[in-house]
Amino acid sequence: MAFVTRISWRLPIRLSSDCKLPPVLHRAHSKNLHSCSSSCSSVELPNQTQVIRTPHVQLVTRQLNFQGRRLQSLRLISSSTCLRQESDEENGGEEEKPEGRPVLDLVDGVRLAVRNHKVLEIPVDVSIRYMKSEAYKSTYGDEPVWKKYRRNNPGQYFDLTRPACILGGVLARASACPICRDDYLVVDYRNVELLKQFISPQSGQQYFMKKTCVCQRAFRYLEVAIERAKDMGLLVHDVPIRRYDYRNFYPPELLQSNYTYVEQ
Amino acid sequence: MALLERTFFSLTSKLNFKGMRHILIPDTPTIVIPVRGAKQKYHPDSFIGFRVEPRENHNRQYVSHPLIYKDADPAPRFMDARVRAILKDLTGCDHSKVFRHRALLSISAPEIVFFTDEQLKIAQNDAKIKADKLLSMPPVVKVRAEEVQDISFDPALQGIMPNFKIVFTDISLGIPDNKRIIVVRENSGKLRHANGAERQRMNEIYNPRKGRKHYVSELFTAKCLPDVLARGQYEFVLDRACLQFEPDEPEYQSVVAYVYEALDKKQHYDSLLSTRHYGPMLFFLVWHKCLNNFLEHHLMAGRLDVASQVVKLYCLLHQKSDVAKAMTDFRDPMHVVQTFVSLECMDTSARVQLALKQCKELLRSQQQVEQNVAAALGQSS
Repeated sequence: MAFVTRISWRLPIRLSSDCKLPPVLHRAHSKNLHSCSSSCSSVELPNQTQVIRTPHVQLVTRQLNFQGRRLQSLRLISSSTCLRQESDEENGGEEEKPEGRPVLDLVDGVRLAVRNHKVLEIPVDVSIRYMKSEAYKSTYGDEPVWKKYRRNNPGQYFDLTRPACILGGVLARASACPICRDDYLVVDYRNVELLKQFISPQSGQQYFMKKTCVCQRAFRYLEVAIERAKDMGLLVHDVPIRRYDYRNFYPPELLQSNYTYVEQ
Repeated sequence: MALLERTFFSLTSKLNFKGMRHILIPDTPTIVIPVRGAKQKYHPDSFIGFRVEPRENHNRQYVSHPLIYKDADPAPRFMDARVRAILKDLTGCDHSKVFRHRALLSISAPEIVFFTDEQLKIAQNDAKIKADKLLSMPPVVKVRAEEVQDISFDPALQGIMPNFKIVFTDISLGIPDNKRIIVVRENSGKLRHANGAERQRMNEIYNPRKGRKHYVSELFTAKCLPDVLARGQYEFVLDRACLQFEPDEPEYQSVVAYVYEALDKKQHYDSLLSTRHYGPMLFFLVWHKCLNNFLEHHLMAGRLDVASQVVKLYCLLHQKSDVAKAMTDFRDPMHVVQTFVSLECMDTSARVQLALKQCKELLRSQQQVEQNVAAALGQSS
């Protein structure tokens, strides 16, 4: 018997406002809703009943309707650990999270930032540490950061992505591009791990916008950072082979195949 | 900057002075007028056109190194057939490294072909020839003289261009960059050849090469280069240096010497094996007589043949040295290395002597093993 729910699985179930952050991702199978109760203390979901009409859930549905976003299809997702806490440890608690509202929501293993979220200014060395951290690993795994992102394209084709996701220091998009949605991914020439994900190993070129679906501004930042990193030698790339014509450098008598030098 | 230079190209219509174009190198930002004919006079006030900015001053300087080929000319010794044979032999030819995939925009799908035996032989020969081309060594030449020659002095031309020098470049097709005639007319009326920096700039304007930067790349500065080399990326730096500089430029030789020194300290000679840079690297070490680390590394590993080849190379480059005179039998590798160690390495390095002892023991134990195996086989058969 399926538990009817009008919740979109793209947004986690909201906790009550006095609950401490970070929230746990409630990834529950539609049939096993009771499993999520183990990870969430305040929401008590009864076993094998069809009721999800708790006040918390109603709040969510109302929010959904207000945003007017289309509900996505149900997906099978498993329960996860509390990922936000690890990321707090990584940054050393540098940023201050607003109470009662997550800074970044975790959905399907991808950190999806919500609209009107004030973008944090993360220094580069924090970003570099983040790339090696457990939080990053559990969010993105071994794939590039753009791999799981799906652009909400209105048609079938597109050449350019949007000009920018962040306007006035605030995320102006519901579905921000892979770089803008995660505050901890800072595009900088020193952050070589991140830059490598946007370079093709076959051609040595930066992937075009269509492939990675980053916004135009992020694309330009990446381009500059990659160029600078290559120039400094932080990014090692294959260099065109310089051919030499020995006739331009040596006189003809030295070019004979049996030339030998005897010191006088 | 590149955009400005390209527009300049399109604006100049006629060639002036027998195939020579001229361009100004201003000290301050200035306006440039394209030249339309030899008869036309141009006055600074009537300049129209686009701005040419002087080169940006990053305050970046290329790394410098004392060990460059400045006194004796290495060219005759480098081109000696015996020397080149030894260098080629020691470089080796590992096809998996020589023909490795390079991410250089040209991607093609792999091709699977069925060959007969004869066709396979032909294909293998072609691969050998191609590998030889890829492993052709960058030229080792004497460093270019800093002083530039004066050509003439015309006092009548004094003061025609109060703030600028005029540079004349021969842009005829088919001339290599280092042979191009580039002359400079100064405000004093002196006509002289262009110096290294001016040559580099003109060549980059009229013959841009992919990978060559018109600014001082951070890679070759003292700030960045040690970090890159500490990560063991020697081949990358050497390839970039080949693209950026000419072999007779002091900057090229400094960068390359810096890389070789770093490589020598850490004994990472194998990173350049099967590349085009191994030969010049060896030549450099033997020329400057810095063989202690090399010999120690190879003798510890028991590679006596490599060590003996290098000593032979030493004898070819320093033909009047004691080692060359004392060498009697070139065919016996142990004798060759022993002579060298006893004459050159007694005072300088005890590690090489130790390494030689270790090598001898290694060879002895190998010989023992072989004898035992042969005896066992002999008994069984």
